[in-house]
Amino acid sequence: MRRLILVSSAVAVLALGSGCTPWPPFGHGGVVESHYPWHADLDEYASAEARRLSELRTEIQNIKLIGGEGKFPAYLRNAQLQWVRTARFCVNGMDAETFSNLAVLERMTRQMRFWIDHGLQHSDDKMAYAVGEAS
Amino acid sequence: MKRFLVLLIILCGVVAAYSAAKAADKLPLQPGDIISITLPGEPAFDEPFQIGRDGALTLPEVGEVYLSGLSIGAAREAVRSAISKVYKDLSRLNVSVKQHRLVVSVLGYVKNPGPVDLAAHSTVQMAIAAAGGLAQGAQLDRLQLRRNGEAQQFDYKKYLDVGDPALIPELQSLDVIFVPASPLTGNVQIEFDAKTLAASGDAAENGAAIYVFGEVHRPGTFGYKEGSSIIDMIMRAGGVTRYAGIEQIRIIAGNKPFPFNMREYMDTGSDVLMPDLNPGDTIFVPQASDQVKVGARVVYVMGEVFKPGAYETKEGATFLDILANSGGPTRFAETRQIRILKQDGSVQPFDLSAFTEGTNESSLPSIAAGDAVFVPEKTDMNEKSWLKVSPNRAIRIIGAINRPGRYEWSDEMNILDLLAHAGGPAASADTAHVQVLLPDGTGEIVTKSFDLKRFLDNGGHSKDLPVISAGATIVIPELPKDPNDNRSQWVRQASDRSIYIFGQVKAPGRYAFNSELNFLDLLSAAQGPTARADLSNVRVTHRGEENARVSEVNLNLYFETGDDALIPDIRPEDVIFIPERDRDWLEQPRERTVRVLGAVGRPGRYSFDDRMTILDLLAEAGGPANNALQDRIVVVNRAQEGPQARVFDLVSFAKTGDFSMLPLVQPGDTVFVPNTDSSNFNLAMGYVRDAVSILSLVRLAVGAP
Repeated sequence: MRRLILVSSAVAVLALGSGCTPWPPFGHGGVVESHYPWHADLDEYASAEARRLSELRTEIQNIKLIGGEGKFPAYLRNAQLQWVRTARFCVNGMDAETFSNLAVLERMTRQMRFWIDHGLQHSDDKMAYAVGEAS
Repeated sequence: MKRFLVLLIILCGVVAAYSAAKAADKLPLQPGDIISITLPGEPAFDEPFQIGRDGALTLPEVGEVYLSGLSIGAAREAVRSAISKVYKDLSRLNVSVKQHRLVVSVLGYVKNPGPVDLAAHSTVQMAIAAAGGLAQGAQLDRLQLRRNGEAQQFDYKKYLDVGDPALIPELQSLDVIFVPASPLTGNVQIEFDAKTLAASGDAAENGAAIYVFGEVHRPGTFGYKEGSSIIDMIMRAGGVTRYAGIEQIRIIAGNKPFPFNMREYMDTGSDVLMPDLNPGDTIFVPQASDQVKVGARVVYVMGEVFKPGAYETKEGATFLDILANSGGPTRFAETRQIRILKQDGSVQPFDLSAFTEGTNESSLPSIAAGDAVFVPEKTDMNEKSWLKVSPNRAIRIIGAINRPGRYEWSDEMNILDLLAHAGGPAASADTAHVQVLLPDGTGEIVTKSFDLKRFLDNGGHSKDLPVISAGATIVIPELPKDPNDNRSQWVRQASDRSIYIFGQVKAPGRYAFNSELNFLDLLSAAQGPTARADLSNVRVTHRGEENARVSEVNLNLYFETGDDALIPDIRPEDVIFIPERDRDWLEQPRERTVRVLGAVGRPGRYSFDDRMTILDLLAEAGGPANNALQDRIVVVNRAQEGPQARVFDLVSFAKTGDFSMLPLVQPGDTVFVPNTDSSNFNLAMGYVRDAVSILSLVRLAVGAP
């Protein structure tokens, strides 16, 4: 019995000490086709970027509702994808990516607001449109 | 009072008649005079007597009494003396002149030659008329009057011309007027008409005549008259013919020729130019073509005019004067292409039709002596020889045109006129790329492109049309007959009218392209993308712009949203590339791929974008292997702040379907699927086995019981 206890202790020490290291944390993200985290609640992420993302989501939805989808559908779609991309970085804690993508999303949102406020279509400002798409 | 006037007039008449009778009585008697002899009671003297040509009267029972040359008084005594022998009582004898008469003979070329009895004071003309008038062939300027055996010549024609009685002699009885025959009548008496006579001149053949020959209508010998000029003589010769060289008329006088420029004389009217004409001179009017006209005042008119030739010009003569003198252009003349060959060798074109129509703003060309005006022949469309139209008058049109060829050109036309004349573009013509090749005057050919299709579709100003001139070449390109069969004609298709499409389309190649077409037209012409096309990453390289630019076209997004703004504007020479979705990983940039390692069916690099998930990636890689540790799939993110690893539990996800469990995967990341050997349990069991084995070996070595 004493021998058995000795062997077991030795195996446990070897296993824990040499091979059984901890695995990385589980990831978070989502998929585009499920629109997650487009509708995700970002309140649990208390960062400033998360709050700004939440505001931009509202702005993009407003632009869509007041005619953006009819005037510049692809650009609006790209903005939504950009929002998703930024949110995924945000919830995964990739701050640098979140910050840079958030800047792009800010510019795209302002561009759409400008078009809406001036009654323009994408064909009136195609170069800006192309720049937005390329981003 | 009236009665008094009548009586006064009658008295005057009586006095005048008496005076005349007295004057007549004073004249000596001549043959032909009619003498009245009255002797009462003797009826033999009732009739008057006429003095015969011998000068004597023949009285009854007395015989001849010579009275010619006697006065009436002397004649009375002569008669008294003669009849006193027969008649006793002569106290009441009276002899008077009843009428003076002229008895002359008219001989020669008169109709009734012979003696004629004329009234006193009759003239030569009256005598000729009494002889029946002149016969045809009479030489009027050399009539003769023979009196007392002497002949006097006089110019009866001159008398007829001027009517001066002093030019002809007064007649006396017994005169003989002789009318000679013209030498033109020849030695044989023939019947001829006046025209024939006049055709040969009117002069006697002697040294006093003027000879006129050459290009006149009736050359001949003409009698010289005082004051006659060369013009008079030429007119008498019927005038010059149309072939006469009136600038070079010759007058031969005294065996020396003198020139006479009748045209200059007609132009100026200067008598200085007119040489004197003398009897015996010869006038020669040469033929105009007999000699080459040269001179300081000559202008030459050639080609399609009615009277080409050399023309004398003068100060102030205009182009139209010259052209009108040459009879004007014929109906075969190409009046749009008249050329003036200047004396200095330069050539000046002139469009007379445009000038007359008012469409040409240029003025009449100046014409100077020594210049030549050439009026070319109008080109006949059926004319087989194309060489008649020189290159500087022709324009060429080739290519996809219904009647390509070489056409005459006028600068008032434009390219639309030319196309219409050439039958218009063919159905296969690429009118958007009409090429105009223009010589720039230095031998270089300048090529310009003209979008005729746009002009026809949208209209425009005439100044938008390309300026073309004679010598230019118009090329109408041809569209490919079959867009898919573009390879067979790619050489004929200029690169600036082509567009290129490569990659995953069913018919990649080089396509004709114009501004009317767009990206989707071209994609359709290339029969669309293949099944392996990566529509999200279509690339368009824009060439010909100042800065190089590449557009990225996401056709998937276009098909998702229908937003036309995603379709890029493309122009000829652009290049479109549609990549393959599953390209060789070496061609894939790391930023667009994710590496999948470990226990999967097909480990490797896979294209990835952020619209994919790790599930898509695992499916693409063949899924986890049987020994895969599915609850510990590791994702290594390529974060800016350093790589970070996350674990994905596929088993748990499959049980819950919670998408939030899916880890973030982005291009550039690495996914590792460990096998079951990597599980903590297996690792621990391995260590246990190793430990047991070691302990067993130690036991054996110590020699345990």
